Amino acid sequence: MEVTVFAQQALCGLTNGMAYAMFAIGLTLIFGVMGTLNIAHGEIYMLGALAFSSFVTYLGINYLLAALITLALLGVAGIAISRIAVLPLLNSPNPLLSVLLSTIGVSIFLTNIALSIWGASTVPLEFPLRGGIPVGAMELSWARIAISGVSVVVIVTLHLFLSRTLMGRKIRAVAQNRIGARLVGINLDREYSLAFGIGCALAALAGILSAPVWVASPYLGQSMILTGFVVVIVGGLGSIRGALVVGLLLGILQSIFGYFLSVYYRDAFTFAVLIITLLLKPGGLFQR
Amino acid sequence: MRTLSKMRTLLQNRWFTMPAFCALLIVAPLILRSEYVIHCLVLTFILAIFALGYDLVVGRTGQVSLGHQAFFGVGAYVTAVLAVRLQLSPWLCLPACLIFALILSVVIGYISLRMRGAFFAIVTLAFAMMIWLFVKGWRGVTGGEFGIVGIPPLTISIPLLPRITFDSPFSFYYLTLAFLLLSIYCLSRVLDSRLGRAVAALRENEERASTLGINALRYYIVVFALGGMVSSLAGFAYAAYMASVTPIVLSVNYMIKGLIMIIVGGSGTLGGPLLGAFIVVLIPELLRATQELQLIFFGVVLVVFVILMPQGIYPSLVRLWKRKITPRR
Repeated sequence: MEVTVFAQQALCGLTNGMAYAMFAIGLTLIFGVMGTLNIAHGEIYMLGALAFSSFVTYLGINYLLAALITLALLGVAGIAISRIAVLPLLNSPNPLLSVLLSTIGVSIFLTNIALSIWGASTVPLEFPLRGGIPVGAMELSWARIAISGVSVVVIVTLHLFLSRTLMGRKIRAVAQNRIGARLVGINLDREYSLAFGIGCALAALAGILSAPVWVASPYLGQSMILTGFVVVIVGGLGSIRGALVVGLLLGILQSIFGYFLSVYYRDAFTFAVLIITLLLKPGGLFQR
Repeated sequence: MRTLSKMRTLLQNRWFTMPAFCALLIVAPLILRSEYVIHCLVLTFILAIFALGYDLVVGRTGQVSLGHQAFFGVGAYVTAVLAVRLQLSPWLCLPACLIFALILSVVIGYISLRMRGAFFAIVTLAFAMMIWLFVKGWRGVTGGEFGIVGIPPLTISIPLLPRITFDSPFSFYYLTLAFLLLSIYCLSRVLDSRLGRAVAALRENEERASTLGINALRYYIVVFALGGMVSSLAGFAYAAYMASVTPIVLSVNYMIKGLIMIIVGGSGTLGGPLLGAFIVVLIPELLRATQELQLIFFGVVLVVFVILMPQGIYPSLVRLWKRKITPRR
């Protein structure tokens, strides 16, 4: 009995972890390329979940189309945020802290825009497929299978994009050495915006995928950004592999902790993981 | 013309302007008379004390803490728990607050101040969120979501004088003003000392200062603890004034308010947080907008200031004052 419950929780946690990983990969990609943290990332995630749920539930748009519209909108929003609030600060004396502060401003702005549009309520969303497939003695819902399937495809695609295409290689070049990249004629601002847009699209996708599982509400962003930071820092800032591995692990651990010990203190557990990791291995597990 | 130049010499004299400014603040409630306006000013002073403590970390060490609301909230909660649950005299809560904040900030500082930049920001945020969760979860003592109500008012009874009870905005105005001026005075003394210069050297160039024998961790912990204690004083005043606390005092709302006050007012100055507190309290009152609209506005303000005027309003105001009102010939 215990083993089944344990396995079920672990599996559930793994799908949550997929969403964490995707969210955190966006965050760490932005850090890797621009050297700054995006506090508004959680709000992009929240807007992704809310906009997608509203398109489907209130406007009756087809799932796939709604997802594509949401992704496009928030990807563009990401590029706009980077142009307005991030790029002008990259040459300031302390870019990391300036961007931290200005993206806090963006995040306050977006949270309250969402609150004034949707109110403090949640937006319901029904997944088209009911039930799920049995795995041993338990059942894995189709919504969770969708999260895992899409995440795996997206993460593999992202890997191929970054390693095989010219656009991806330009982004990596900027991440490795800004001056070098500029010397070979890469437009830094464009790559920054592109990376920021891709990061935000990943956050929005994580929001879209988790909308059927966790109900969408304007308060979703705050808890997600904290989890995202923990994943990114424990994984090693700027390391995509670290974000993936730690995201999955944290999903599983949180789920098991929540079931066997306390759901309420699950976030405290997450922070404890962060603080202990930083004390033992200050650079994170997969230091770049 | 003569009177004008005499005025100028008067305004150039710090020994005139400072007392004049204080006197203005002291007579203000007698002129304003409106209870509501005085209430707003009390909130301004409380937030200004909080921001002063917060800015010690942000402005003096150059590291952005995202967890300073913890000290404000803990100050308020220590006051409430001791005064209501243990029936202690509210005045005794003040030293208890400061001691508790000191211990807490040394523990948090000892761990988090080894890190810089993003790591420091996130670790302080993690600590603050943990404290928030524990306070909300510890229902038996802290009342959970509902908080604690019925904190008895502060009283002063001096023989031969009528007993003073701090239970109106009017009386609290003077109490919080005294706290504020005292904090500004103490901090200006501390920052002028060896400690203040050491920290300034560390902020300018940590490596160079370290090679001169300045222990970064130790000095930063002292500043961090000082900031924590000043902010817990604000928490004490808040709990005593409101006569109740809820977990909101520990939430990120106060971090957001604090950062806006510091950045808009001017970080690394003593006047900036006070100016910022005026802006954060008074502008929403003038706009009379909903909470969401106010925050949308402040979100934009924060971005604009970080990009266009990162040093805040206060330094420009001082420069303007020096150039226009008291030019040196």
